[in-house]
Amino acid sequence: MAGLREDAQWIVLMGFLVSFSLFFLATILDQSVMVGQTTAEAVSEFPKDDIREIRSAIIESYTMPDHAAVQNDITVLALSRQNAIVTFSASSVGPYTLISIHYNNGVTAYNETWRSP
Amino acid sequence: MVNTEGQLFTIEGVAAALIMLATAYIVVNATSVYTPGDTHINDMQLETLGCDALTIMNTPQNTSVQSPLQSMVENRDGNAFRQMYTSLLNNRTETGQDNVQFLANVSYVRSDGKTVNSTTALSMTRPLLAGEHAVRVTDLVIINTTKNYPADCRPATCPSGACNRTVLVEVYVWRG
Amino acid sequence: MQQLGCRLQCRDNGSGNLSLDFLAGFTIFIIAFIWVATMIPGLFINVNANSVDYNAVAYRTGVILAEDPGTTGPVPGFPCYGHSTASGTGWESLPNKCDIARFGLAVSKNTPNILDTNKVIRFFCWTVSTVPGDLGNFSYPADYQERAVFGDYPYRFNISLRSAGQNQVLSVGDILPAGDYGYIRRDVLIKGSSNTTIDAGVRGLNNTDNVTYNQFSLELNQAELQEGVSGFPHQIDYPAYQIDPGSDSIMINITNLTGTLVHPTLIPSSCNLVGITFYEQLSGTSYLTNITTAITAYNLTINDTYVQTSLPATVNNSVSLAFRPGAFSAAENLDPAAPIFINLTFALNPPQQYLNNTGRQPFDYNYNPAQVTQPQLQSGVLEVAVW
Repeated sequence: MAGLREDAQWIVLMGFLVSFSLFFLATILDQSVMVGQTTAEAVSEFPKDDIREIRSAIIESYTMPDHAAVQNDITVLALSRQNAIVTFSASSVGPYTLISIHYNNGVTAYNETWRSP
Repeated sequence: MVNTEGQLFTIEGVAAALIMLATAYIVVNATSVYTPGDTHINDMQLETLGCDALTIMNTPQNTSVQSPLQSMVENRDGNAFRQMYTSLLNNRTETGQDNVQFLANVSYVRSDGKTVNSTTALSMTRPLLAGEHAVRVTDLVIINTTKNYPADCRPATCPSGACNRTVLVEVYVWRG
Repeated sequence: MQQLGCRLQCRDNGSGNLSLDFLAGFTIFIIAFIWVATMIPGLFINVNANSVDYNAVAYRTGVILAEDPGTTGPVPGFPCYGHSTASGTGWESLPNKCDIARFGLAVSKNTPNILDTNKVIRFFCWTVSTVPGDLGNFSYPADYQERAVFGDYPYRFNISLRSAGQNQVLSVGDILPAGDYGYIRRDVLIKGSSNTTIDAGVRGLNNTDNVTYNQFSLELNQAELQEGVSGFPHQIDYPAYQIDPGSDSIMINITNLTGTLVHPTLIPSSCNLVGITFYEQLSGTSYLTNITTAITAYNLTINDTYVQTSLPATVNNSVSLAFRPGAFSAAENLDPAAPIFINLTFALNPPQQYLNNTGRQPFDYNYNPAQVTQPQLQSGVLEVAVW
């Protein structure tokens, strides 16, 4: 049997080099797919329309004389169907009405103080 | 006569070739083909569309009338809702309609002021079949009377139901 | 023995001999390498680094157009020299595109998905130039890329808008490709413009004196149009329903003028529209300031025929004034809360009664739906495709 010869190790090393580069490229390729997905997830996760609806419902409710039931409905529906805590209150400063709105769905928190024009 | 001389490079070459081929095989099998259905992009597009359509329906023509959605929800007019919502979902700039389905129901707060009833159906194009993937869009609507809704939503302070209330319209939207 | 050892070592002596063993091994290796090297790039054919975010770019452009009112000011990195813009001006009325930082079609930032007609027309009709030298024209794709699509990669795109009431599709950009592209569809409402049709016969807008010159005046009370008036709701909260003389198009149709004659069978020998004058009652004054020379952007149509504004002109049955968007901006700049009066002067021979409200209230162009057709919100579809 020939003694241990190391002269041909370079062939195997070249083979390994090619393999590792293939693995590296495959990893990059796999990660690239996630880019598009996470962008879309970020868009879906931010409750833009929820906040807009709740905000306009709250402001509209303060224009009604009997707003207690309407506002209770908003709070209960937001909590049970949209998993969001909504609290709000109104005050008067001069001729303006100030409504402060707080929304939190566990991931996104939104605070606003709305002033009537 | 047969000995091991002359096998050095051959063995190494064969070994290197096998390593590369095995890696190539693993790589090709491991990376998934990018199909739009696997990601959330379709969901985002459907959700945007569904929310836009509800917003449009909830915008009145002027400040002294109700929005179409308000009157449809007050009167529980499923046909009118279906007609308007379907056209808003499926109209395109070019000729030809898209094929988006929906299923809508209304959630309201019961008379105890704490629990929610979310099983009141409003309208649908067809039932949601098992295996179909839908997104959910919602809109809050303030209505003037709940007389068309079951009695369990009227509080003691307003037994006739002719008081302002807020309800949530929930729509499941899917392609197919 | 010496020869045996040489067989193993001969290859190292530079004589140029390669053993068969080496050739065989190396050949196997090279064949495998070539095969892998030609197969692996096939994995990457369908992956374009820029294609994974076409949908994201389309969504962003859709939001910018449908939910944002646009911004004035120079594009960052491209300063405008030599001119400045008045604050509060909508980007659609700026003649020089250098002053437009970002497009946006929404009426205001509080009215997402409600589009302004003037902005839509300016955005899509990009061959309409309002100044010499084509400084107002937008070129595809560069100007739209800098102001709506953004990004370093030169995306190609197509933005289309169809209004429910019209068959025509407004469109900017390339034809859609056969393959994959990023796409978003937005439902929108397009705010129309207001107009009024005054039936001169029915409304009893006559005077009682037989005079040669009869003046009929209309009023655009800017303060009322901004804030609403009792009986008609508080408008300042609702830009989607507002009538804004400074930037909306306003149309006034007066019909059935023969019905205003007391003796409709006794047609006067001549009935001419001799003048259209504009006045504004500035705050703190009790007189009217003549602003006729400042207001010129309107089309005058008499008897259903468009005329150049060469008065006097004979009037039979109808007069129509179509004010283009921004026609009253000069008046708005002078005083944004002052009422604007539009006076039409008719000359009749022989002198007789006619359409005349001198001494009475001018016709109020306001939010009363019985008097003025309010701006309608028409539904539409906006589609953005990016590739």
